[in-house]
Amino acid sequence: MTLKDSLILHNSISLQAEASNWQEAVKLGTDLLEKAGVVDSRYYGAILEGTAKFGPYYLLAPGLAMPHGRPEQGVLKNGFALVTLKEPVVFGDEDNDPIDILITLAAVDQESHNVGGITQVVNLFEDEDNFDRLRAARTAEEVIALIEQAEMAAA
Amino acid sequence: MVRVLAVCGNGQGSSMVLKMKMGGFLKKNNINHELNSCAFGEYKSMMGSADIIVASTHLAEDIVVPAGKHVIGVKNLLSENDFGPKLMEVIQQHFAADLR
Repeated sequence: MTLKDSLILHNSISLQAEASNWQEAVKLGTDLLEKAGVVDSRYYGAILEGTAKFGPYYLLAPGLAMPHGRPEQGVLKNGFALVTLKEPVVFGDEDNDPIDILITLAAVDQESHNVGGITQVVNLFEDEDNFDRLRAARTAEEVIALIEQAEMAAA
Repeated sequence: MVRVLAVCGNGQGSSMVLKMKMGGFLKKNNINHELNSCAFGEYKSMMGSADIIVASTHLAEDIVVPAGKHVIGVKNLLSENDFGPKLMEVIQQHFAADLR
């Protein structure tokens, strides 16, 4: 499933959300996915455990995180959630902190949607201005439009 | 053919992103390559079929490879300006035959 289709189907966009630390920020995304039936309650804890073990390996770029656990850690369906924060949080990675854009990923297996879905994530940030455009977005429609524009640019 | 392996915490998110970004870069630079991705826990078993292992900096610190293989640590997984020069340096020094 693509990023765009998942965000629409699962109603999993939250903009200008508030979190006082990275754990709360991660939970905003996993809560959206849990509510949509994409993951069960184990998933959040699994991401925290993974972070304790490997560090925040899912920080992709300055400002941007893609938290995720493994398929067997509570993933029910393929899906994405997109969260932007009013105030950024710190994950303890000097290269990429502070983070205020989180794209939470859930995948039932290693390949599945990720070819299509992750390609859209990569395409979305191909234009560096899209970091700030996402931060400025106030409606889900604006986010979807940005993803669509990025797809057209990449095609 | 230079064989590049992208590694991340669990092998399906960041390493996939890195694999896609590097694929575009290597293709653009006409480098004869093969790309794979895996989880940190799997890299030792994948190492036999890899020449260069690429991971985010904090994971790269924990990756140990035998002589003749190379590890590259990347800060910004989405930026060619970050992984590109590091990758090219290793390729030019050790895999020049794969530059076309």
